Amino acid sequence: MHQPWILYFEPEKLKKASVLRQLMTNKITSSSLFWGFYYDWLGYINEEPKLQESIFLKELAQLVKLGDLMMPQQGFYQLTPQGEQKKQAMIEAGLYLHKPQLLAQIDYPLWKDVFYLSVQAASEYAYDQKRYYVITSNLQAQYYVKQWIKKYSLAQLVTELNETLNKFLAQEDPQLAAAFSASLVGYQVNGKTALQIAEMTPYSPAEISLMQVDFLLRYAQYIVQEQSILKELVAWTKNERRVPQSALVTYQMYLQGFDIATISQRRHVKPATVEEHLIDVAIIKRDFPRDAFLTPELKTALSQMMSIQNVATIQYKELKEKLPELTFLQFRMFQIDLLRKERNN
Amino acid sequence: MEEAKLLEILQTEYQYPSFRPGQVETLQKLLNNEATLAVLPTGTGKSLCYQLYQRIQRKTVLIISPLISLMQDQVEQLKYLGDKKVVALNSQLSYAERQYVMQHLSMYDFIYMSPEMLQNQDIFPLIRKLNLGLLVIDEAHCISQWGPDFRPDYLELGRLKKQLGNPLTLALTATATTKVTQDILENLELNPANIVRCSVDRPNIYLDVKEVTDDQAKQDLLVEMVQNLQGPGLIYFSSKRKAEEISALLNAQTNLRVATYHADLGLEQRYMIQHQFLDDELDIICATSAFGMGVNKKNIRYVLHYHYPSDLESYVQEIGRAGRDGQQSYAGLIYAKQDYNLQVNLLEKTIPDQNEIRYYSQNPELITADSPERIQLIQHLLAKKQTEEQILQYFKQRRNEKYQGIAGMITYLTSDGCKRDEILSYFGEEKQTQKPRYCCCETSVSYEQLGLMHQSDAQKLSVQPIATYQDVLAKLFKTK
Repeated sequence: MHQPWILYFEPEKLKKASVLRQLMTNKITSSSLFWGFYYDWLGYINEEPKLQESIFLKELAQLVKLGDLMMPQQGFYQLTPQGEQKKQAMIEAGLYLHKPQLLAQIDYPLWKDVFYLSVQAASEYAYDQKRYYVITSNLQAQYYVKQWIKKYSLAQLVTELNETLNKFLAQEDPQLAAAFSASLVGYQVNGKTALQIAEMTPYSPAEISLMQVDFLLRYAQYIVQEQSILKELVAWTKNERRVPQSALVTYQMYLQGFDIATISQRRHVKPATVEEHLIDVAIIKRDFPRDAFLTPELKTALSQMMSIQNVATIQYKELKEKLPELTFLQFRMFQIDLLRKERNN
Repeated sequence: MEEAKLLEILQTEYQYPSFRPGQVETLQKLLNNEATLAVLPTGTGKSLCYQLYQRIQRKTVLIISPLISLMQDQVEQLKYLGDKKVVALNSQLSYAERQYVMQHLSMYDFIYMSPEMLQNQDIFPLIRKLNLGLLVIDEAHCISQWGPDFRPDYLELGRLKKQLGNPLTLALTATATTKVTQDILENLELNPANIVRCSVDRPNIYLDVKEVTDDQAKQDLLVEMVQNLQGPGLIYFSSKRKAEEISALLNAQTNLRVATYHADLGLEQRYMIQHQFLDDELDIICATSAFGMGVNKKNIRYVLHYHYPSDLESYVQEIGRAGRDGQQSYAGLIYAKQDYNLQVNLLEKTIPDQNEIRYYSQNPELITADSPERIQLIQHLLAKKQTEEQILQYFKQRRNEKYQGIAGMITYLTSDGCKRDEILSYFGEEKQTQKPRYCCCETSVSYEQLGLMHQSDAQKLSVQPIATYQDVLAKLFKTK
């Protein structure tokens, strides 16, 4: 699912909408990955696999009509002052994904099933119940929860969930915390749907659904940071599918000391493909050794022509005219380096 | 095995006090190693026949089912009853889950799958290796081309049964006309002597039909009915949009607790609504036909139809959700003449027209997983080596049958005589000489006479204060 579209755009920065759609539907190319990195959209990879282009564009056009977005260049959007105000209001109300990057690290659908099943199992145990209709038929979720219980016990599941949920929700807006807890299922508690919760609160069903995603993601992060034994449930749902598998294989070979030509030969792919793989990994992994591709002299030369101000607009062709030995791989690595330093990550 | 012994097992293993009509006869035939067709109406516990059989024989039971949601419901019910070794092998499983299940098939007591899955080249050989105690064909009417719910993959079951070594077979259906029964027997090579048939009649359900002029009149009448009838109740619609619209209307205009249920809801939402309804936290469910097939709520007091379904078989199945506790219940169908157009539109969406058939037969590569179901059906028939002409003929026949189904519904709606007789006649049953006390709208009765006058309203969600998270967690984990 997605947040209201204005939350993905900014007032001062033009962003190409098709990149967002490609990332959300997991149709990742090297180009969409780089631009997704530049626009800070990498957290939305695979967020809505079934998003249809026609519906997406229609909804953006509607926002332009409403005056929240503008499209000064075909396919590129930015927030209007009105849109920016609305976005701020949403952020202040807490109705947005605080940590969208978590969607890239956690297999959200699986984590949701694991979480709800854990709460249900703990609750039924608290009342000595062994027979109940389980909330999810997801076999993987059932397996993970069973394994955790085998290792730690149902009694500990009750204690840990009760303690961590109470502490986590104590940090949140009380009304949103109440809305979140209304969806939980357990012994003689059937939970409420987003539509039903909306009837009892001042929020819309879409806002409730968004809040549930946000809370679940941040709760997962919370139990990992607090070193709760529940973190083992989250660890198992870590989603490493952002980097295409083939790119990871190339990267492993690079780390083992093979050069591009050798990797290309062994993997039966073009050298340009190997370079693309390395760029993809450099975008995703913070600890990628970018400096191995950028000599100090090259860095100095490039920094005279490229800065954070023109990193998105300067063309490789332009720089190549001035630095004939510059490769596309080095160009991209420098861009990534600039952006990481600017974001301090 | 003697009936008394079977009853003892039923009471000990399942805590049911007694058998329902048709169950004992079906079980005894199976225990005598006789392949059987059981035509048992909705709510008479068809699945218990093969569950109890497995408990006695302790051999794997393979159940072929047409619907994933139905399979999931039944898997959950079996697990709830204590049968943990049960699995549904379908497209909902991830690749890893499917691999695990395939590698451990012999450990399951009950395996549910669709007929397409059974034909899978990787799966069929594994099933063949199993020592099957029973092959169950659920919703067996899907075999029949004369039936409204025909599924081409069901036609393969006769052949597959032979290839599995002709295991003992149980075919189950709630509704089967004479033609459909014949088709099932022929396809599965079952002995006509081994049919267990219970009447489709449900004497405790009063049958009512009301004609109105237009949609507004329908809405007004519906609001009046639900405010006067004692629930809980189910209201069926032919479209999700209308189900949601009326649900919102009833929530706004009455003090009743109403929710919508259809296939677009997420799985947890469906779980919540089902269980709220089961626990009497809801008064009404506005549903498309997705709801109710696996839900076992005994005290549904009325089933209303805002749109009539496409055939009498579906109608009888849907009203059959009412009064499973044997108490007086009510089935009301509200229709306007214009409803016919809706049915025709829905029908035409399920049948490709001649141009589509020709186009896709000549360009099958254009059919994808995102193509509408009616187009995917063309692909299915092409895979069975059907020619374009054969496919055209097939869909022509299907269109005719579906129109006949609607015609059957309209006959029911518009006949002046006894509605109960109308239904019995359609299913080839004898008219009853002794009618139930409250039969149908041929003799008008009030809700009061039926004992179904609305009593009181529970508190709606919109006026309930939302509980704090502290209270919810304390209740969930029993810390107060």
